[in-house]
Amino acid sequence: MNGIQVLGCGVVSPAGWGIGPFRTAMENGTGLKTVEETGAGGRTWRMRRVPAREGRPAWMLNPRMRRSGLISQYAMAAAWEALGGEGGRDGWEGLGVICCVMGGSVVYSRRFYTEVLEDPSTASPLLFPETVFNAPASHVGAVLGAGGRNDTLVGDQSMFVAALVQAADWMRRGEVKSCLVIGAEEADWTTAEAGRVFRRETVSGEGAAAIWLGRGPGLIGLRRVTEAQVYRRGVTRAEAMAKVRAELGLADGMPVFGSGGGAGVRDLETVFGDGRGAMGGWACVAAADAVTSGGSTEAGVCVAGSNLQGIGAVLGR
Amino acid sequence: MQFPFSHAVRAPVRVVITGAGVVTALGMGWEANARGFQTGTVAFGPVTLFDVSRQRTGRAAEVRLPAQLPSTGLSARQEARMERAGRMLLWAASEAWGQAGWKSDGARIPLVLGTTSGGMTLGQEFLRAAVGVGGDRRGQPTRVTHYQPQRQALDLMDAFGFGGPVSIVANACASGANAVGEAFEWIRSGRSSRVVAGGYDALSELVYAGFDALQALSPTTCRPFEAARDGLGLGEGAAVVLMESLESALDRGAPILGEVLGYGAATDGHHLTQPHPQGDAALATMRAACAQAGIGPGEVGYINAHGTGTVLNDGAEAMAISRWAGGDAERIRVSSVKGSIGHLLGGAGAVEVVACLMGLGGGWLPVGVGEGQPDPACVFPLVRKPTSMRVDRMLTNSFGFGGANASVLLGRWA
Repeated sequence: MNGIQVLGCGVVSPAGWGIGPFRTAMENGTGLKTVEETGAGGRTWRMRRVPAREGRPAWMLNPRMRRSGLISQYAMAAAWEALGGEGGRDGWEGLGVICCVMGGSVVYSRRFYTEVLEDPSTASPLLFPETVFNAPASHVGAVLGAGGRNDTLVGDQSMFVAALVQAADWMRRGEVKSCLVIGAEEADWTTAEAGRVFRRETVSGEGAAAIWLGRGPGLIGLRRVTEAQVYRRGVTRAEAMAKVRAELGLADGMPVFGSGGGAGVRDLETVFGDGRGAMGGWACVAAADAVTSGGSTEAGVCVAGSNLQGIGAVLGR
Repeated sequence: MQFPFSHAVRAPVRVVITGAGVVTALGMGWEANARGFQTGTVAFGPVTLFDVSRQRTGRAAEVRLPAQLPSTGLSARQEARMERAGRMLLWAASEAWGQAGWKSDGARIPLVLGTTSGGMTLGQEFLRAAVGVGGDRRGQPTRVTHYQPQRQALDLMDAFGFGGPVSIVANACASGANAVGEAFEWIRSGRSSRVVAGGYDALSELVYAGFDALQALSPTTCRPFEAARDGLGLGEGAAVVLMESLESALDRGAPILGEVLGYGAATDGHHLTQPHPQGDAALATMRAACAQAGIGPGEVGYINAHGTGTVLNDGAEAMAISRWAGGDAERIRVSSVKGSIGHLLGGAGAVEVVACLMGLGGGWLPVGVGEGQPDPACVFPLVRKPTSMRVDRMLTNSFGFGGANASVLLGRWA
């Protein structure tokens, strides 16, 4: 069952909440404004933050979201938009959820562990459950009433693209009728400091992306996804990405979006910052948007992850 | 190309396990753990890995990890940078790899791992150094790269010479079972003929303090399914299973440790940390795993329960088993090994799959700790003393924070 369609897309990015501001930022093509934040030891970091949300969306009224962190709210907002703003309707049985993260709820881990270092006997029991990698995916599933498959995958920026294949496989196996693939991340000084290990000039971004996959009818189809080229010992990132690009077979003039994908790839990091778990999702949404609202019949995705693998995909009419 | 899939879903492929390695507080490897599970040895002791003097409780099931590592394809530099969780995973994989006799030829073999915290001990060091309460900042790059579970996955591939792809499932305490289950599905649906799967987690101060803050840790003894139970005990460990199609195993003439017959996964949206009191999602996973194998409760002889020893978990699971098994509940033996080795979080599901393989092959049932009055919700017989019994099918349950629920059905290989 290879006819997998994109039924909807959603985005939260440093440009704002929703695909509209994301598209505008892509069209402008310039880096969004950065803010300087001070972390431990007085060190400062430049980040691209998601602006404050206007109003209170319906999903925030769900008790599950009351104590949720920003990463969960980003994931939920993107998911809701991908579902066409109909996340509140009944009937999401059969909907699978795959949430991809790199740092995940590391902000909660930092807050909780800081309390532990001060005095473990007074560390807050409210913080610990939100430190768990699958907290955002659990909140999304609970709010939507989706009680089926719900996986959280940890990896680098590439994981979202790999998760599209897992979602397609779940549908092929009949385990789900449709599947939300989400990538989400929240930034703070710990992620900024950690991100600089991979590249000194990295600016941390944050947000989420969601693609709702199903059997259609949809906007566009998932055409192909390459093998994941893992950065094993002796395999450089450049070598891995050369294999990805060769396998992808990008046509001349095809718009390609990604991160670190090499020549001809529109690098989203320059606009939004390094969204880590959201990065691959942003690239996929940009590609889907280029097909649906642009003149392209196909658009590519090419993502070189920081520390696991490179991967590519093509979406098209 | 991963997608489009190169083949349609065919008749389900039979999936067997030809290699299994395990590390827990009971010991390093199959023999020590089989002996412990068979006799119900309790491996808890005072926590020595970090300071617990300011916490409510102070006991856990720590692994006595050898200083050296098994001989693999890792360089000395790679070995030197490995942290505790990765080392346990490597030991488990080494045993499994040797048992299965797979070649280290760079083949593209998928790796599916489950973990809740990867190399968390390094994550803690990173934060301590960053805020200036321990360590120096020179080691920060290594801490960042080696804290993340990607590193443990890459180390495993370098150690044994295989090439991925990689999937790292972080579904809290169900992660290990999800990893084995997903690997099973990859082979069953014909997507791959071989998969390496496993789960792992090391004890860390952050996670220990988290469960302590929730008052989920037992201040006495972890006694799953006892009426007077008062909490869980944390442990650490890893298990790796090498899974392949039956056809592949028979072609190689490989010894078969057991067959994976079914897998079910579902999500409990009741609460982030508490199960639905009726165990709805647990019921769904047990049903799904058995439905996949085309069998009913009457054909399952033993359930390795998630059985953490908390009031809420064991009550909900007992209810789910009772609802699922109906009249067969009075016959199906049930136990939880968490009274022996503690709750291994991301490692639990994979380790308990291996405990079932041991019991299936050896003709015995894993023993659960506890002598007190069972919870009245337990309408099933608890295995509380060494029991020799040939069972053809065992079900193992794993449930986690976020409502992640998974069940894996295993069969004896005659």
